[in-house]
Amino acid sequence: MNKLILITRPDFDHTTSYISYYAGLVMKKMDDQGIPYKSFDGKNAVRDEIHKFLLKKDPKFLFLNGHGNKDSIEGTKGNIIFDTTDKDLFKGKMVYARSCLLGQNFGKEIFQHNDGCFIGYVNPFIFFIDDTQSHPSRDKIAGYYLEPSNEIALSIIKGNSAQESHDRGRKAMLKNMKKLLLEENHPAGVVEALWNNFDGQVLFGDGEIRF
Amino acid sequence: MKYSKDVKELITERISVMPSNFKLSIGNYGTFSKEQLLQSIQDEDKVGLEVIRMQLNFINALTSGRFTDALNNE
Repeated sequence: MNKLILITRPDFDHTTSYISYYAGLVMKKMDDQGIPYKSFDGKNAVRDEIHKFLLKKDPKFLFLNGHGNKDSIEGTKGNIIFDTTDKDLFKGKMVYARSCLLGQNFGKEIFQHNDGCFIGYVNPFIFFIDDTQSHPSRDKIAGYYLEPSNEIALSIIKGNSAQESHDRGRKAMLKNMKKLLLEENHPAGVVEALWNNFDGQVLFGDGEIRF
Repeated sequence: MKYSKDVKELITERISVMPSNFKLSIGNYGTFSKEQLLQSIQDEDKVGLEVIRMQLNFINALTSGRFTDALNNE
């Protein structure tokens, strides 16, 4: 197992564009800290290439961004990169999946009796965007959702345990909910959506594992 | 699943005060404007059902005290 990170960043719609941009912010931190990683961006986020890399380089941490359902996660549009039949690939690995629903079955099925760990969501991962902003970097409202999720990956690369990283992500969401509630005219619906992600975030496997 | 008229009205009220420049991204379902969300709630399509689930989950957390407990323990 190598102290190396595999990242997926498909980018073909609003959701993937935002989560890929935010994954890029984590990559900047990795650059600053000299932490090696390989990012499969856009149309390069395909199963064959990702599996090849995984088998050859054996990265310890997988930071997966993309659309998902309870059994599988996509790379680029329509390309399933992992599903529950890939169980053996994940032995001893740390996975954070910023994706919908994977915690319902994929995370549980693969990591419940595995010596690795999985952090993900049993609910759809949802967020508001401000349609008047032309780029994720200028969209303040999306940051309330995506910054706490970045906190999980940042905590893992800092060397905190899976449990600590899971807790930090949830704590950051609570902090943002409080911040929003204290705003006199906080936009309707935004706290509910953040609660959805908070309530749906799960950890399976070994909570003490570290990168 | 069919929700009662009261539930749909309640959720419609909550969504109707959402700012017009906001859109909600719901994974691979897509990204939706307020008008689209309101229509989906009326139609009870998969997007509407997801929005209703999310809102009811929050209301449940509020009324059960789970939401307050979580904020107090932060």
